[in-house]
Amino acid sequence: MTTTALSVRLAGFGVRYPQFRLHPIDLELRAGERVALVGANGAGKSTTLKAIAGRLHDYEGRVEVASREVREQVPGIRARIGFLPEQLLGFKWMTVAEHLRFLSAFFPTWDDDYMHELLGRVALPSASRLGTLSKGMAVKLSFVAAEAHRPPLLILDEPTSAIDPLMRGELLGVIDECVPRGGDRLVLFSSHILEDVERIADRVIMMRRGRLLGDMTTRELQERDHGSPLSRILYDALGSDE
Amino acid sequence: MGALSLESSTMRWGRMNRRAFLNLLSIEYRRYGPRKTSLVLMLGVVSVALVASGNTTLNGLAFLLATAGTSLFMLVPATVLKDKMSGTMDFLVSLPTTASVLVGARFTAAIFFAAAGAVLVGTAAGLGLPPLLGPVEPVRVAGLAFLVTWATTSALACAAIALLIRFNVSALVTYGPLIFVAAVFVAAYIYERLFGHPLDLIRAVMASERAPYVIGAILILATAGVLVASFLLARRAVENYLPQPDSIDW
Repeated sequence: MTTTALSVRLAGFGVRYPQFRLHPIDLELRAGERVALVGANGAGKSTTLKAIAGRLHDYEGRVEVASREVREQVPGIRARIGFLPEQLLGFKWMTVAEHLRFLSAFFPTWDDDYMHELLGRVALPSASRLGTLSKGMAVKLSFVAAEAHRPPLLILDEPTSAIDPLMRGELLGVIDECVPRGGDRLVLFSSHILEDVERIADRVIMMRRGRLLGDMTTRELQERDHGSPLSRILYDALGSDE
Repeated sequence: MGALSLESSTMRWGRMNRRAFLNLLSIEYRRYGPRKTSLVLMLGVVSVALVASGNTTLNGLAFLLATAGTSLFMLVPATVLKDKMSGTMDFLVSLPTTASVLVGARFTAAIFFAAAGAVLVGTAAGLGLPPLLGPVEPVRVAGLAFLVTWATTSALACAAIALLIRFNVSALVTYGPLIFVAAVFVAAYIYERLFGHPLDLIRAVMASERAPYVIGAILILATAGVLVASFLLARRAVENYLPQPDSIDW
């Protein structure tokens, strides 16, 4: 199944909530990139990802996916975006297989064979009920649901934040295999675990307290800091005025 | 070529919406579960048996009829509240399908369950009311009871769904029961002032050739009006739905 590449553009994108403000951001994300949004909790990463995924409608500025404002393309555009939310949502009485079958009806490019392959790779028992899944299993299921239709834009919101290191490594490996570098799919993920960023991303967008702090490729970052480990560079950059 | 691809894209979207609608509808049915349905059906059977044996008063009959019929029609609105509390509503509104499909599936389920409840009410009314009313055809009584119950409970269920989607959980929990109790008292008062004793009204309606048809037509129109207004309200509420701050994570 082929996918049509998607690019993303944020122009003056920002939000104002009573307890949180995301200052206007300008960004261009191109097909084929693997982009990490990094920053501490409350930096504005999830808000940005939700807006790009067409799950936020109250914001300033523009969020364009495939050169059109995403709000004008909802709900259709959601079928072309794979979104792994921070928390798995669904009917907890459903089994994993039922949940995925339910979702398949909403995505025209859903690939059942690929879904089974993914279930095998992440070793997720399809007979388990959603309400009984551990946090790690829930993340794996969310990943399978987001990836089974091979979306041109894959958004992963904190995919590894609450799972153990073993499962983290396993999941990152699967992500790496499923969306190989050099393809035409855009992968956008948020994390505050800097080692994960080092492993997956080739571009890093740093955010702090609702502001964009920096936007560089991982190579540029490492060249600037004379080959230091990426996680150390990011740690220094994000923590410099804490 | 452009027109052709637009057409095929529209057709594909239409097909996806149909699939999504049927999928949501089957979930609406599955989630209420055979257990709940069989409990209500048992209640219906008990009602009919009591009426048939003649061991019930008019009040007792009315109570049983109301219980059997209304238990079913409240199933769908009740799950909207449950969905909001558990965060499942956030999941549903994030699916790549239109608000019309989401609301349409839920309304269809509500109307279906209201019909099942109305069948119980109609059957029991056809069996139990003719002895109290005098010379009337049981089939006419059953038909009118079915229609009145179906129309009223469908309208109530869909209006309740729309309001439950539109307003946040804390507002519903705080003001909902108060508004409901007040509405029941006001409706009962208005009814009594306008129509007097229920049996007198039913006798008068059944004695007339045209009255049941007129009532039926008015009910259908009024119900259609409530359904359209509720659909528009619910659709708008889904389009602007925000995650519930008071939903319970699981």
